[in-house]
Amino acid sequence: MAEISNYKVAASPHALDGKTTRGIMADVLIALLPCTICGVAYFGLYSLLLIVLCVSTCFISEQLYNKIRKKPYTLDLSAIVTGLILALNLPPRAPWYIPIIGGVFAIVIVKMLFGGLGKNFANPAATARVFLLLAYSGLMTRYIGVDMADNLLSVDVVTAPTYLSGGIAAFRGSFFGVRDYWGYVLQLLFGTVGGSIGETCKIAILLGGAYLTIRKVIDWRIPVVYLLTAAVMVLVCYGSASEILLQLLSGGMLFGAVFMATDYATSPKWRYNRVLYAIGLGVVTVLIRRYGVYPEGTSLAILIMNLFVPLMDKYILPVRFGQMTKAGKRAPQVMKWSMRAASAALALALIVAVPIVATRPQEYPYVISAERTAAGEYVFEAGGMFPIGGTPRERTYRVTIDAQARTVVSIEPISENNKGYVAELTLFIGKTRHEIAVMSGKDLSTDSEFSATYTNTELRETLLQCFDYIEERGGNANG
Amino acid sequence: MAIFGSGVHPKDCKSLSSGVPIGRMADPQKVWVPLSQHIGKPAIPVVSAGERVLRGQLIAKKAEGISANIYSPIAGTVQGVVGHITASGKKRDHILIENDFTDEGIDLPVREEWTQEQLLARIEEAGIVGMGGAGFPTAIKFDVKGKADVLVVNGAECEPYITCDDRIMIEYGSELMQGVRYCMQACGAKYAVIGIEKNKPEAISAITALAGKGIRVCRLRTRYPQGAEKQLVYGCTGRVIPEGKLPVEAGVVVANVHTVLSVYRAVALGKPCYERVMTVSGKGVREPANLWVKNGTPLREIAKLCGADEGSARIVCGGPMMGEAVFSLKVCTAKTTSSLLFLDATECEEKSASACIGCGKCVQACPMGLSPTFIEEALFRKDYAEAKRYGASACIGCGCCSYVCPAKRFLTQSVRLAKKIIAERKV
Repeated sequence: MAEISNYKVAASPHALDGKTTRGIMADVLIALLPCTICGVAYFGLYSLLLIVLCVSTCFISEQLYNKIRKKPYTLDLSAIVTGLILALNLPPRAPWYIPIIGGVFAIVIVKMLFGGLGKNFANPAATARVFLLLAYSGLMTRYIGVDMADNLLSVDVVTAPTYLSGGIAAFRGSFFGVRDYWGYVLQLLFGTVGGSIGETCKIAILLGGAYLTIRKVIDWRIPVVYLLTAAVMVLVCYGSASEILLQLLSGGMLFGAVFMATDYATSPKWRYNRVLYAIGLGVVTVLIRRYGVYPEGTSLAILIMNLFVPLMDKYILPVRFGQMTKAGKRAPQVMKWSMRAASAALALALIVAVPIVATRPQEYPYVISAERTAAGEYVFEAGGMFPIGGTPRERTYRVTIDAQARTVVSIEPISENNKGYVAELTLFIGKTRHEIAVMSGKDLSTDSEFSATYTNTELRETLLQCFDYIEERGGNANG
Repeated sequence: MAIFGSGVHPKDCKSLSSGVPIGRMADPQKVWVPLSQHIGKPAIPVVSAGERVLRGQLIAKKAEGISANIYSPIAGTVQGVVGHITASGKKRDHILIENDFTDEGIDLPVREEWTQEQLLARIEEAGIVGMGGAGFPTAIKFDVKGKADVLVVNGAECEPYITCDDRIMIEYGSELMQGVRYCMQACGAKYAVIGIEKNKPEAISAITALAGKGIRVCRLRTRYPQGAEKQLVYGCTGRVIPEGKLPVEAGVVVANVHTVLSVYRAVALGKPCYERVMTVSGKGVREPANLWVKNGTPLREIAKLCGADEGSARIVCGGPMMGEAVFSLKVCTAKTTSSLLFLDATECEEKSASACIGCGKCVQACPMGLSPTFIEEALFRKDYAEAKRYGASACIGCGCCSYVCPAKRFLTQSVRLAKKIIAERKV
């Protein structure tokens, strides 16, 4: 019996899947690369500095924490992932100390104090973002526009609104010739709008998400069901089909859905719990956006839903193979089928409701008549009873719009019977729909005449209706 | 075809030996025949030192209760009952027989017509046990008193590397079919389903061509653990075996392909169970092979024959998912030893556990619907009731959770331990 050689024994299974913690984290870093590159290209080298600061803060603070607590160093790349995700969540011109404070908060307070990797109850990056938003709300909502050439070396802060904070004023008039709605959607998709460093370019995020799904790092159910629920919720809460794409592609929703909601430690472990969690995320995000005081709801929604995860993991368990009820029947797969049904119902609701809402006949109360002239112009008789200073007064105009350039050629008053409160027509001449749409109250107010602002505002609405009328009739405005 | 959820898909590595016809290994100089080659009590030796035995002669009689007869695999002289290590590392009684190379043998009597009782008696007499690895005495399993209507034959062979069942189906198709008929008669089944994974097309076509009336071939998805009893029955018949119950509760009797072949040999040829087909494979083997090997052959003899590298990173008895790593080639084969693998460093990883990152891959992978990570957590807290609530008692030990774990945690072992403690303390 003497022969006990150097054979290595080990417990089965002897074959192992090649995936390791570090490999998974490396995969996430690879998936974040397109977002990082786009962010730096769009917002300049200063944002790269922020990224480097944030990542190194996260890494160093984790190792320092380990040193102080006399624990082994953790070189599993998870701190780098947290740092990068947090950095991509910061506005491009945040002061240098923001990533440092955020990084320390994310790693030390949210992650390490609760036991380190895998033990944190909330997503470190999402929590740190919410913390920074509360502590430095002015700095954290100061976004700049995209201008590759100007931004590259600049550190200037020329604030620009985002769609969530400033509506369509955040957009440019056209995106490579695509005007209006689809132009806005394309701008959001390619990320040429204001926003956090990494979350503006949706193409890059989708690329990263596809990579993670193919590599089976993330569960596709979370982002897909999240976005699906959010779409239905937007339809319900905003009552508009065109709002769906604008909302889904705005702010941090897509980035959060792919990279933050899918965080392992803070999302449920069973696939159908994940569906439930994603539905909750979609509902909470849209509710915050629509009815809350913050324009952006993703990070907060992730933080809120994170708190329900331990409860879900504890009480909603998979039905075991061969599990029996007390009555001796096969235990029904309640969760599985209800979650499948819920997802199918959401998808069905979207498929059915979007065409109905979108094709709902638009009302153009200010358009009285319209015709197309041989010269390639649309001539509208437009106007009606404008509520000026609380009193309805009649205002009608002959509006001419160039069919090619889609600009206002001329506006002639037909009836402006009450003297005074005359619109400043020159404000609108030669402008496109977009330029008119993004005019703010300040642009429309005038010093010369009291209450002309009301008239200007209503005339703006009238012109927008004329433009939309042309859009809807596909250029055949003859009726 | 019903498919069970989850599971994993390890690299099957079967091409190393799947094309090699079954050969026969020369009898070794000495055999150490284990007295415990089955679940239950060890057999009681009926021979003593110095006695001459023939091949096929009874050397140990089944004990009371669950046990099985053991026959001499060679002709020779009994040296005595000695202690010898087994694959699990424990020292157990073996009968040591020295070969005299006369190969004199005796067979059990054979008859033309068999009744159900006679068949069951023969299966019991021949010492046949479940040869897929479980080693449960087949006679007891088959004695279902008419409560089963289906015989499910396990040809899934879902463990990577192992190809002995595959080769048996290809080379012993007609014997197997006759064996299936004997088994159906013995357990009173009305029809039989032979479940074969799709990655064995040759076996599927060979068996399909031979399948007669009442015998159906079921092509199964290639997915580990497709050959586990509950998953196999579900895949072949769509029936679900209730938790903690035997297949007969669902009207099913399950038998491995090799067990069926052994039944044929015992019934039609009168040969008791003293040898089996083994796969010798892995990158550490120069000539991977499928071999008829006598029970009690030391692993070293097999290693020598196949040109195996004794310095392999790991030597495994059984499949890489559930098999046991051996620490000595002195260990001898038993009725249940389906394979011997010499794995090099690229085929098996040395692992050290790191912190759980909560990815939930083990929950998705578990074919029984358990939550291994939470069971482990509960085990470490000594909260066994909680471990039971997460399903620890239903563990089949397939190893899927450890296989997929990116943190390389010893989940299978934790769940097994939790299951054991729950059973012992009746939580």
